[in-house]
Amino acid sequence: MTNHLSWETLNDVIDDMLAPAASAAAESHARECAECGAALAELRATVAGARALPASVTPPDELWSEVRATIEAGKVAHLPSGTQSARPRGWWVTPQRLAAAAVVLVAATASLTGIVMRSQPSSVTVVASAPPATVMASWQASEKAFQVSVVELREQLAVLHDHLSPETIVKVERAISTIDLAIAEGREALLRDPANAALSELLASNYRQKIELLRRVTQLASS
Amino acid sequence: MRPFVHLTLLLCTIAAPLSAQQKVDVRRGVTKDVYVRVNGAFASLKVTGWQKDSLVLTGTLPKEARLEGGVGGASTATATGAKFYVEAPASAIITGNLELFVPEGATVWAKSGSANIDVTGITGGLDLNIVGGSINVTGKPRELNIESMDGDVTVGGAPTWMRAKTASGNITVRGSCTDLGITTVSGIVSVREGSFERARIESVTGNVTFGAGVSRAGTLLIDSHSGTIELLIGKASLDVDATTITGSITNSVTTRRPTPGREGRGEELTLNLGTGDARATLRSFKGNIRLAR
Repeated sequence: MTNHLSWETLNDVIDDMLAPAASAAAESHARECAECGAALAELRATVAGARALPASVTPPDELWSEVRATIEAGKVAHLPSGTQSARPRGWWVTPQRLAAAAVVLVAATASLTGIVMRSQPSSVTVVASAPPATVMASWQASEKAFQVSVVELREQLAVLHDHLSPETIVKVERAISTIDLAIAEGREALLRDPANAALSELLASNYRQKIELLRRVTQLASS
Repeated sequence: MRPFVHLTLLLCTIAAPLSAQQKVDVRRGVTKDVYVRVNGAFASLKVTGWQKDSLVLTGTLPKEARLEGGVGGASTATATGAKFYVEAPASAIITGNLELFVPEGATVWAKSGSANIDVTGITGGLDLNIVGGSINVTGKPRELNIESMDGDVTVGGAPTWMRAKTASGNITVRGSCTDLGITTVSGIVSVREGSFERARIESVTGNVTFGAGVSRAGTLLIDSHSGTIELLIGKASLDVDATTITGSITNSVTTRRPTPGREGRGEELTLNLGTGDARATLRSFKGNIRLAR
């Protein structure tokens, strides 16, 4: 079976965003196709797991500084230079790996959004009920998952570096720098206003952009 | 004598590239829903969907390039799939130009580093992927997936389902779509004409202009970090919910003024236009939002 369900379709199935006929067709395909069935099951399990996360997580004290350091490092990090010797493509650079990273992305996005949405006031005149510290702790756990995905995709890109033209690498790095700047600004704002749903959605959108961009360029290099 | 020298030089100039090229000519009977992949080093690819049960691939490639793959199955059988891969030395200048004719219900997957891809008349599926160059699609493909780094994307027509993703490439959509998804880092997004049932547009710094209709009970979501969001409402019956974190909102549709956002920063505006058959959610971190007719 070669016409596998697209990443968007898998997500749409999970999010119940498809028309009934399309959803039934996708589910039917997933039942017959082992690869898509496994991807869908994994996606469901991960999202369910993310939803079951405790509302309050006490992260280690060093987490916040670690996340910040990772992002700061990301702003200046560059892929290995083209003069480095060519390395063989890692056996682990597979669509499944990419899909797994993307699964983490979706789960973390859902978690991040859910966390903030749960902390939203019922009306604009009511102060947010969830303690900001609790929201932030949960959010940090979600962000940690994002960062793990970013690091993994970065590692894969480093391995595939020689498959990309220098011009493409420059374009990718430029785009990632733009996204990182947006993420840094969004994070700072969310720290000040942790119960802001719109802010969390915007931040999650930027994280999605980054993961998606890294995924695309990794696929580009590996094909 | 001088005219003769000029003519000779001119002929040499023309003849050199011609002699350094090879022709491509592949023709086969295929099913109406044939799956075709074209991948590799080509500068341009023109895909046309036609009402014939056959596939034709023509064009020219540099002499040092190789066209691998081909049409699947026995040569006398009607093929259900075809794969072509253009391979060229890394040092070669990519100059190959290909033209592909397939049944309109075909599914076409094309990928190249930097190429201009033009597609017309396909009602099947399209999956197009480039780094640079451009992608132009017209017609009504059932599924349209486009990925580009800095190549511009232009879609005219009415794909049922569409996803377009770029890093810095601009995205222009003119037409209608049931399910539209656009993401860009810094490209300019322009959606005009037609009607959309479900549309989601995300940008980081790119400006977004949405000047099309939203179907009854449809949803429109636009997120941008620092790009300007412009919603040209026209006569749409729409509930609009606009939020900025630090940017401003300009409303030229009604007399309603935006209110200060949370903690006094940014702005928020809710509009109920007409009977509110559809819903638009606009969110920007520091870009401005403009609502106009």
